Amino acid sequence: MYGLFEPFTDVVPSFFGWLNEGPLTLTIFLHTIIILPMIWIYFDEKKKLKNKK
Amino acid sequence: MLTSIKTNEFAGSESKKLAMMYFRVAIILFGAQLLMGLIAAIQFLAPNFLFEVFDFSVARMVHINALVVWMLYAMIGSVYYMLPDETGIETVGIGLGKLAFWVLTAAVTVVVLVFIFIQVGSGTESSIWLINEGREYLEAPRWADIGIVVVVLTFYWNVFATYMKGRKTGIMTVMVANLMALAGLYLAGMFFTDNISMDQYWWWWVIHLWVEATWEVFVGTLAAYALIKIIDAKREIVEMWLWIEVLMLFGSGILGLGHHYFWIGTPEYWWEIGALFSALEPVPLVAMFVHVLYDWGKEQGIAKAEGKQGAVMKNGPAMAWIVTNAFGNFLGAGIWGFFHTLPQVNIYTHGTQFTAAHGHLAFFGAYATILIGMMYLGIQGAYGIDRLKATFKSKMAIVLITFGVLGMTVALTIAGYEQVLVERAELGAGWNAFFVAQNLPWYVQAQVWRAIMGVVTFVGFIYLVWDLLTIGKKEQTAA
Amino acid sequence: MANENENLSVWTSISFWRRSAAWVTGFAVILLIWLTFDTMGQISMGTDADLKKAVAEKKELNRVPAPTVINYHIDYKMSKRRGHEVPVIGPKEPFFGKEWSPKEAAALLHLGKLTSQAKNCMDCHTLLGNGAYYAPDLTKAWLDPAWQKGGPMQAMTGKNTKEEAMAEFLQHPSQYPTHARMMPNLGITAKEAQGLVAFLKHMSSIDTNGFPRNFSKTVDQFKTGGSNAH
Repeated sequence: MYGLFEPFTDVVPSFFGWLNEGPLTLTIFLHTIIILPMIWIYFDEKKKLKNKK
Repeated sequence: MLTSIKTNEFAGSESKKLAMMYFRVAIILFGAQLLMGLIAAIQFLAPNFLFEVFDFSVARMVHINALVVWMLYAMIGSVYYMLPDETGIETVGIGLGKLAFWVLTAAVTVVVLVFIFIQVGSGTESSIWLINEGREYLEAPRWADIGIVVVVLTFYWNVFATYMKGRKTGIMTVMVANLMALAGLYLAGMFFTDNISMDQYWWWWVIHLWVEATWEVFVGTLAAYALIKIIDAKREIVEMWLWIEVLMLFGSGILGLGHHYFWIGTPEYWWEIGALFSALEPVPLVAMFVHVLYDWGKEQGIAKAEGKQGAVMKNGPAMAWIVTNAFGNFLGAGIWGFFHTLPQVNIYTHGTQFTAAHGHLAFFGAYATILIGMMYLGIQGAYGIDRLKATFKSKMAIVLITFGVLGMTVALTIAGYEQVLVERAELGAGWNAFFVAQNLPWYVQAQVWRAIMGVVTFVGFIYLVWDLLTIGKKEQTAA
Repeated sequence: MANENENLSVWTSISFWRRSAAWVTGFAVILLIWLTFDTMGQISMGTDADLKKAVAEKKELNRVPAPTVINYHIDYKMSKRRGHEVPVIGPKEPFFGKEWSPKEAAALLHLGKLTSQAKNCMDCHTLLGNGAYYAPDLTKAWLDPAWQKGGPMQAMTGKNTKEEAMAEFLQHPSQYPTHARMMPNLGITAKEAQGLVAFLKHMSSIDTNGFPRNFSKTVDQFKTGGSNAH
């Protein structure tokens, strides 16, 4: 559809090549797994701060 | 600066004396860089200038290597300068540090002499070991690579041991971790392969992960230290910002490496990774800019509220250079980098004067500025001046150098546009296409302006050296 | 300043940012290493057998083919499937008048790559778009029409094949000026010149994802709206 989803056309198939077929799916995947655990760090820190009080 | 080691104002801090030694070599190499740049700029306009005597490739090689090496010198100097302040103790292995300084300086001298007088070798392994490795920025022959690694390990041991023994501030924690990555990355550029794609893949690990990741974090730590020194910024605030900067710089910069993997034989998926991670690289640079100005304004406001007169700034020229850094880093590395970081643009701009425009403003804005600021901080310490004020020469230096580099950048950007549209888009990048674009009147005009602005920069440099040599004594007697 | 709420804010807590910075940095490095392994597999040089198979099946098998690719005709054509130009390899053609065995081809490429570094090509030219911007990009220099039969560069050197013309130019560059800006004489020997041409031919066979785009339309082709496929 409008070239947002593209069939795999690169030379060698790979996991990253497969993820690259959807609209921004590869970069969203990478950004998300990097950033997401910060939510856990946030609540953990919040708990620590409360306990200190 | 010349007498800065003999002033005794460091009260026995050998580490700070060693820092001044590094700064002095750095400024000499900075001069060499500018001279080589001028030769190369003239060759663009008059190709017969020094043809087959001192060719463009030689001038350009010394130009970029002097750049990298003077910055490394100034970086090592800055670390030796801040070590005693941050850790609260004297650097542990100062004798070894001095030995390493002389070994490194001797090695650099030999490498430069070989570059200038021997220039190229035959197509054998021994050329790569002894003369020239022929990989842009990493031209230093292999023996020198190994020497650099040994010297850097000595330096790193000094920093690490001092850190372990002394006070462990947040700034030093970032510094120690970051320096380890910075030094380790150099190893990625020390091998030979027949496969040019593989070659460039690892070559970028050194170049990109230095200038777009570890060096940027290094600048963040220097700015943090300098803000505490110059305007008494609160350590908690500065260190919190530093961690945010580390998060954003490494978060975007490490995978931002992908923007160098669009066209070197690497898979297509790097398009998306490189584009979207490197597009975020300017974000921390905005943060750094905001942080510097915010702190400055805040400390000034506090001082005013307390009824104090005048500026809170203890070192006028250093602060001026650091503010230039905050802005130049964002403009040169951030904006000029973002211009051509997307593959849709980069397929046309890759390897044109556009890249050169970005390179000039980014190296200057992100690194040269803050390292010059650190030199002024060193002078202030060496002469024991409470409040170092900018002289006429300091002002001429910063105005002319900044104006000169900005001018070169604009000129090269215009040349780049011409080249991109005509050589790349219209004519398709062949041999003829290249020279058709090089002959365009507006392209040639842009190269003339680049040379003129190079001269302006050089005049600014002369003011800078003159100021660094005299400001200490002058302000000391004035105080 | 020190009211209840502010002390509870994680957003101004140094330890939150320190842990996040450590996590983000560490994990980005791990992802980069993972990607590097994937890419290494794709950009390692292929074997002669891979190459033979690719030519026979008219398929791309490797991004960076074996050194024996110098024994084949190389073209650079628009691929509908990929959406950009790709190297097209085959049929066989002699290189300096002969076919090179895998061992000979590897040795020649080795010499060429070494020479390209020892002569510091990269501080005037760009290779795969990286280097200095004083002289033309060499990524697909092998395919430049100027070097082909009837092209001005081949005619100037008076040689009959592309490889011989390029080798002649490399040995005596300032005898064949193409512009006021000339290539200096770097003392390249006949053997080194052969190696360099092999290096250039091999580089032109690397799949660069369509860089440079529209490669080497001549000025005349451009004027008549022609394409560069040949």
